[in-house]
Amino acid sequence: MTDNLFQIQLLMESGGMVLWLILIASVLMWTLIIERYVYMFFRHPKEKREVINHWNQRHDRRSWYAQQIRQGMIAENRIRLERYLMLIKTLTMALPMLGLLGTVNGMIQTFDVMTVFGTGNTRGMAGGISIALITTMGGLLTALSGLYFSTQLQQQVTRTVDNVADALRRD
Amino acid sequence: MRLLLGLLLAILVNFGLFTLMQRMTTSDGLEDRTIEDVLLLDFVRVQEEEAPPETKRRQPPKKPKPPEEPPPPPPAQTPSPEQPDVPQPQLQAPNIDVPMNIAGGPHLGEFQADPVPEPVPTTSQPIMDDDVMPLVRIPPNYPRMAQRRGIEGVVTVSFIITKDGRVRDPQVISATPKNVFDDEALKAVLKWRFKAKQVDGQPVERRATQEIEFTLDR
Repeated sequence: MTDNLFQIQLLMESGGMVLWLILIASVLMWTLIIERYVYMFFRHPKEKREVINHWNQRHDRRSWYAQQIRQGMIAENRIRLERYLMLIKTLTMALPMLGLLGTVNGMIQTFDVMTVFGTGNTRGMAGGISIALITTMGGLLTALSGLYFSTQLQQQVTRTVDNVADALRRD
Repeated sequence: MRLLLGLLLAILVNFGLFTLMQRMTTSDGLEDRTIEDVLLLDFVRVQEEEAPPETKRRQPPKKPKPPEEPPPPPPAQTPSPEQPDVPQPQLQAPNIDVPMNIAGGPHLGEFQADPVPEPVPTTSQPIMDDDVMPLVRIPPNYPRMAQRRGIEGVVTVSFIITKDGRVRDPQVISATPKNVFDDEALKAVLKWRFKAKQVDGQPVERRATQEIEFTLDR
């Protein structure tokens, strides 16, 4: 475990600044994803039951007002479900871009080395290239890991909202 | 609360992700791959061994067998003809060994210093040096008629080498067969040039004989 941490620290050093950015973005994205799943599986069923109970306690469920109230309840539910979803999507899209940013950064460093030392300093050039490649890999890997869960969350949210709407019967 | 829990789990997830990344960047996998490569290389090498490029070694041509030496000729049994008791002039004959470069022509025999008549006894003994040096030797034309009939022969010509190396007064001493090759031999001899003989720094005329062989190429 500690050995692994040490290795990762080495990786972060060879990745440069942008890899830290990627790490932060990835942690944020995964925090939100896990929060969403936790909400969906543990918190949302309770809320759903409360909403249905609240609806069922109403006597008037067919009038225009009742319909409006129902729409409002569903919308509130949807808003609560769709919280952070946009942010997760944005992060999954932004992570490869961050990787590209790291690539450009690394290439700039490589060319800096080349302008100062010429092509003879392969070690310096290798440092820049390793930044470029490692950040690209980090961005792609984290984005790919988040991509499935972000789309899956989107699907599940729409399905759950539909379920809630179906549960609020109009008769 | 949920966010905190998510943060913890997210850190775990990212730990896993970055461990994966680190695994991808380290060369541990590369070593395995190189081992595989070595095996592949081995396989290829084995194939190469199965079909080695055929190299044809050039066989050097065999040396021809040395020609068998002809048996030594039997010693001539002919009795030496009775020599008339004539006083022979005692002269040294210069021997010319001249390479003949022109092929296909009639063979020119060896030079032979002509026996010069005994000099006047009052003069001192003439110094004969051996170098009759031919400068130009033009092979004679083979007479048409003799060529057609396949006649071969030898003509011995005697001539005088002048002071400037030319040939003067050629005469046929002996010819076999007679009168066939004489004209051509004389004509050819007249075109020859020699290095004039020097006696005490002065060019001197001298006499020489030449045997000209007429042989046909077969």
